[in-house]
Amino acid sequence: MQTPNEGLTAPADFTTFMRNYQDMVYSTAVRLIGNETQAEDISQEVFLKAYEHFDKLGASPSAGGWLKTVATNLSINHIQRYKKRWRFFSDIVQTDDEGGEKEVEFAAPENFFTKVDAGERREWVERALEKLPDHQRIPLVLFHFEDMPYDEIARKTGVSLSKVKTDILRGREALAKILAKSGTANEPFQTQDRP
Amino acid sequence: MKKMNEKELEQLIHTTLRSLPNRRAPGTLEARVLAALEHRSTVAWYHRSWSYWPAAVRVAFLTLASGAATLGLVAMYFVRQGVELSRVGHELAAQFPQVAEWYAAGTWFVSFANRFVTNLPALWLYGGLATVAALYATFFGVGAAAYRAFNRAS
Repeated sequence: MQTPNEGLTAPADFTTFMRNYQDMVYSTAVRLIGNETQAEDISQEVFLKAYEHFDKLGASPSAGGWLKTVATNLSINHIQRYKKRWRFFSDIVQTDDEGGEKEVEFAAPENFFTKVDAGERREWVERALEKLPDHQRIPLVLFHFEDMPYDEIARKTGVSLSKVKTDILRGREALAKILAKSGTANEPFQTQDRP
Repeated sequence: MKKMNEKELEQLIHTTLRSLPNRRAPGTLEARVLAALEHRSTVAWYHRSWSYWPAAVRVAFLTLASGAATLGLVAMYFVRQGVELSRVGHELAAQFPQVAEWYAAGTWFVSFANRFVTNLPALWLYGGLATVAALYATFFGVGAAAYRAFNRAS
């Protein structure tokens, strides 16, 4: 068998492997980064790394977990690097999120979008997630999609535990407000291009 | 409007988010990965990271690097012991004339640069440095202004 490091072309089973996991890898990256083009770049990087270890990963039952972890780490690294590089240029404004309310008010508390179909609902939620600022969306995604505990999120993102908890709570509130408003108003989201 | 506590909100958001299926990867992703792999396979080993180097080259590199480090340590030892450097230099020049030529060329360049900087009027030196700094600041400012004007506006 051709080993990845020597390979001239990707073996057919790597292409199958990629097809099996590309949606999962891309979803992880795009939900964390909030930008489709950059998420595609990260996904490409993940599969290039996977190719280097394909002799071990190819038949491994933990391949999905490995890919998810790499996609998460590369996305977080990308966001942190990008943020540092463009802080001066883009005037990133961080609002003070400390302290605050314990209760939130919004409509349709049992479920969102009772009047819309599943496809439309999925689109609404994805767009609402993209609308959240980075400092809320990233910990929120790590907590709810990746099942990462608060302390690990704090370690990975390099912020304090209390800030992570506050950001996640604020993120949930913001998301709930966007979704409740969107669900009742039934207006299309204005997608926000990220630099 | 109904009020929710944090736990209820967490549960609602969790259920909503976890009900989402994976997003569909762009159709171009597979082709991009395969093209990158194809390109990677054409890159010579010496343009890639250490882990891609052939085993024989890695061994040779390690041997040479260890040899150079040992040589450096031995040289330091002799210097500390008070060996005459000029004598060692002459010995080396006799053994390796090519090295002596390179050494002479290097010495000439260093002395020339030293004389050039010493004889350069202070006004020219500081004026030149100030011009470079001003150009750099202008370039940086124009870049930042352009980014703010065009990229953020889009």
